[in-house]
Amino acid sequence: MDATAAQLHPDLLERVKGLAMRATTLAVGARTGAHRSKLLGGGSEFSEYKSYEPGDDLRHLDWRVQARTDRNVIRRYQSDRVRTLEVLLDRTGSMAFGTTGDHAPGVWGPWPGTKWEAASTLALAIGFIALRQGDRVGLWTVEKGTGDRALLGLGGPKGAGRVPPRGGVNHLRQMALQVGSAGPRGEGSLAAAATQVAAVAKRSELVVVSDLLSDGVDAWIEPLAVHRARGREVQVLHVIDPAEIQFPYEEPTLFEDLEDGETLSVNARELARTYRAEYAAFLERCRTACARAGVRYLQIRTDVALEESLVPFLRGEEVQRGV
Amino acid sequence: MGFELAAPGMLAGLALLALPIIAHLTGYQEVRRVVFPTLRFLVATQQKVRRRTRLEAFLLLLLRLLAVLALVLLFARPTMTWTAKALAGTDPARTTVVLLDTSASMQARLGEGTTFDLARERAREVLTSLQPGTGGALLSFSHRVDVLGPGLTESPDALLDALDEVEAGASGTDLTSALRRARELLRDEGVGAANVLVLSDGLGAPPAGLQDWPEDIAVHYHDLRGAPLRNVFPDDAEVTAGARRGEGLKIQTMLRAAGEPPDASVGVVLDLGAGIEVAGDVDFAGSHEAEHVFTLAVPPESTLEATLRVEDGDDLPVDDALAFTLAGESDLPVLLVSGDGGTHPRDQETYYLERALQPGAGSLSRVRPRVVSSEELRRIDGGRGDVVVLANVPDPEPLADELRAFVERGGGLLISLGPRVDGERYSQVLGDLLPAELTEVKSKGRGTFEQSPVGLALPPLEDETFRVFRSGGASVFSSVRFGKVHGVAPRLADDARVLLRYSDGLPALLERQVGEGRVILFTSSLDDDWTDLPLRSIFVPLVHQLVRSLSGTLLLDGGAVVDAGGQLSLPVPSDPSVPAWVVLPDGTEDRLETGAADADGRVVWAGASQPGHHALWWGVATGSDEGVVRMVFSVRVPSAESGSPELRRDALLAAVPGLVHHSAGDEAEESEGEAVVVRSASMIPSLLLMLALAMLGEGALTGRRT
Repeated sequence: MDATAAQLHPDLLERVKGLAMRATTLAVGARTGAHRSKLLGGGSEFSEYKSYEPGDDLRHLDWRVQARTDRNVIRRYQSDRVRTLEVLLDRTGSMAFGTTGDHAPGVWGPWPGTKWEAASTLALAIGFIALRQGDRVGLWTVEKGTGDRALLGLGGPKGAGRVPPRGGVNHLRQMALQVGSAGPRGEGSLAAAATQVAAVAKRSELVVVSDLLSDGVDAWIEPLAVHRARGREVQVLHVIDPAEIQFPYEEPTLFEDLEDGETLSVNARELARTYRAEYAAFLERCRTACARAGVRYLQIRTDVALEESLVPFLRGEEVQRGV
Repeated sequence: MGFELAAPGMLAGLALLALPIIAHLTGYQEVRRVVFPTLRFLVATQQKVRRRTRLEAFLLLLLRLLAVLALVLLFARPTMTWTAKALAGTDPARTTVVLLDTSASMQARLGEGTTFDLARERAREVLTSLQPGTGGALLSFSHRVDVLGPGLTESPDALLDALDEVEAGASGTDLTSALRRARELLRDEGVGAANVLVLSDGLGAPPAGLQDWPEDIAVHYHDLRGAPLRNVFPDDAEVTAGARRGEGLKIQTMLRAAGEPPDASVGVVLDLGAGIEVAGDVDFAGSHEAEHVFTLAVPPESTLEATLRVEDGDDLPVDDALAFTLAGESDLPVLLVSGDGGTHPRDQETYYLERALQPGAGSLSRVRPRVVSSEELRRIDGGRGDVVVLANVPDPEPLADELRAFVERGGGLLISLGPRVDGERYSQVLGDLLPAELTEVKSKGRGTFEQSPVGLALPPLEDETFRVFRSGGASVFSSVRFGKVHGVAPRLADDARVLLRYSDGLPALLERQVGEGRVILFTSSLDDDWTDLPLRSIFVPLVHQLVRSLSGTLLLDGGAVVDAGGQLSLPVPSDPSVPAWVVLPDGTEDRLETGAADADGRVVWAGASQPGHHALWWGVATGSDEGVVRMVFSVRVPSAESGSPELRRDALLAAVPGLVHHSAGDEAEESEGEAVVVRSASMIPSLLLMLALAMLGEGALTGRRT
């Protein structure tokens, strides 16, 4: 991956740097608000000291060292078992949709312009938090080709848009490179990708960050349910743009699908009420399907600060906002 | 039905209809392009609403087309016209007078309606078809002729309004007067050439005296029925009393059939009121006349309003009932209070009076006198309809309260005087009953009637009490002699009047209304003490009239029958301030002009329009709405209206030169002419409404879609 990184264009590197910085900032802020993360390992054997950073658990602050050296040092412990976290990030065309980019910047910075921007930031932030506590993190991006091996029954570790799981904070750079290498485009199958991940990383915990639009609910929930049935944690972060819920269009409009380019000319006002009902029913189907499968389901709205969305995620709460 | 345009060139604007079609086909273009992630939900949504949106789009197109169409037509100013085959003789460009028959026979059933309904519809068509600027007039005729609306006019609307109001009546047909009135109307308006259309049913008498009918006034007689009436009607009911009292009544009825005699027997019902009906069947046996006799074993006690009714469901229901009167045989009890007894019957004060009222066994008189002496009498029962005669009673004080109560209950009191009466005492005791205060006894001649020069003045024969003497006996009044009479004060009591005077001017009979009853005072005696009146021929009818007048049973001309549309001479009170009125079968009242009475005290009443029973009422006092029935009579449909005789075509042609006869039943005769516009209506109001509704709907739909 280093060789690949060496070939990267400086603009990409700059973009990745910014992306990693946002994710790190987000992760630190979220940890500060969450106090304790369920992602942090529960080991008891001392491993090393590290300088205190905002967001670290104050219980692990070594007061003796602080008294002697006037430095804040955190005691780190070796986990009993190193966990592996696979992040499945949707990079299909529908993730390029966004209507919050022109919102006035908040205290946390500018609003994500697209669902992809929000989703990728969230994915890296989660990865960073896991890496910081010594876990191994892998990344899969759902795009055209992801999961083809699974569909062909080939299995195996290789797949389009995959960063294999590794430990160490520096691994975040590899993940950021993968995320920043391309924007969302085209079609892809979340169900196929989930099937492949479940087949490849049978012992890993799984976090899906997607708008869940690429397949039917029944298609993508099935591999997740199978994975959950193995006793592995599965979490779904459903990224939603407010326009998808509110459908704020009134005049006759030509709608073009972001993935397959299909167009539809309609009088938006005529369809608005029925569309809203349809979409609300879709959200309910997602929530119900996850609940039945024992999968944590959280809705991440792009018009809500990502930090606010991440905190309950780290707390283990189920969140549904704005729907 | 037709369609005319005032500005047909404006129809070029129909090319504008292309605009909404173009808008429909090319419109509905998206105004912007949006990339969207959840298109699949939109597709599913659109499939659900597609049917509705397509329907709305189609409706929108229709409404817009409708609005453009209405707008263009508005500028073209269209008019809807209805045409029909006009009646023969209709000329829209020629002054036309329509004579509409409203006689009883026009009420005959014809199809779903009546002959009159058809005539009215034909009249409407004729009047509507007249071209603007052409004069038209509408006259109705039955036994009389009425000019409906404003007369001859170039505006048919007023005539059509009047046409809606007119209805067929129950009276006869006077075609002669109708044609004359039409001719006069045209002459008065200076119209030379005109058409006169008679809308009738071929019944009635042929016109007479019209041989000088002007040539340029064409008369078209339309027999809209064209077929004889099938009609059975009661024509007469003759009531015959038994030879003796209590033998009952025989009612002989005559029924007639117009057109074909009925094959089967016809039901006939004698309705005596109060739910009493006697039914029978009449068989015509091929004849146009049939009789049926009803027998009443027990004659009615009071006068009955009877109705003879035919129940056959024929063409003309209006003449199926014949009203007539059955005179009753109720007794009239009269209590004679004698104030002067004696050993011999002739000494009794009431000897002559009792025998005048009831001559004896076998008499047909219904008056039942009962004599009682003033000393024996303590109580007086009865009230309205009962009569008490106080004859020469010396002291009325013991009876005063009873008498006063009796009169106020409506009873009649006749007071006759004599030698035993103390005038001053009477005035004291009965002052509130007497028409005038009594004064002293006045002697005439030498105090005996044989040598007295004083008789009675000529009675007022117009008064109902003395009407019976109009046929004879009036002159006898002057030959009656009176030796003594009681004087009365010049000032009469309220509600009192003098009925009859002596030849020297003193009052002989005075009348006063007291409460519900009346009091009549005779200022001499009713025996032969002071006068020879009981011995004269007028005594019996006079006392009967007085008693019947007091009892309220003085019917005048009961049983009179008059044709609808005819006139009847009715008696009215001699005092013009006392009202009189006729109550018609439908309960309405027709006030009589009592001040217009002739010398005989009668007025001519021309309000006979409803078949059935009528009653003449007289007020009991000046301006009073309380009254008593003075006469009953009935009105019937003229028999000529019942279908016979028919008005023959040749008789009509002979009566009016140039008359053209059209009959609905004669196919050889052309009864219909060219098609003419019978009704027209501007479509502008409808188009404005259509435009408004279309624009309203378009606005609502557009608002909903955008």
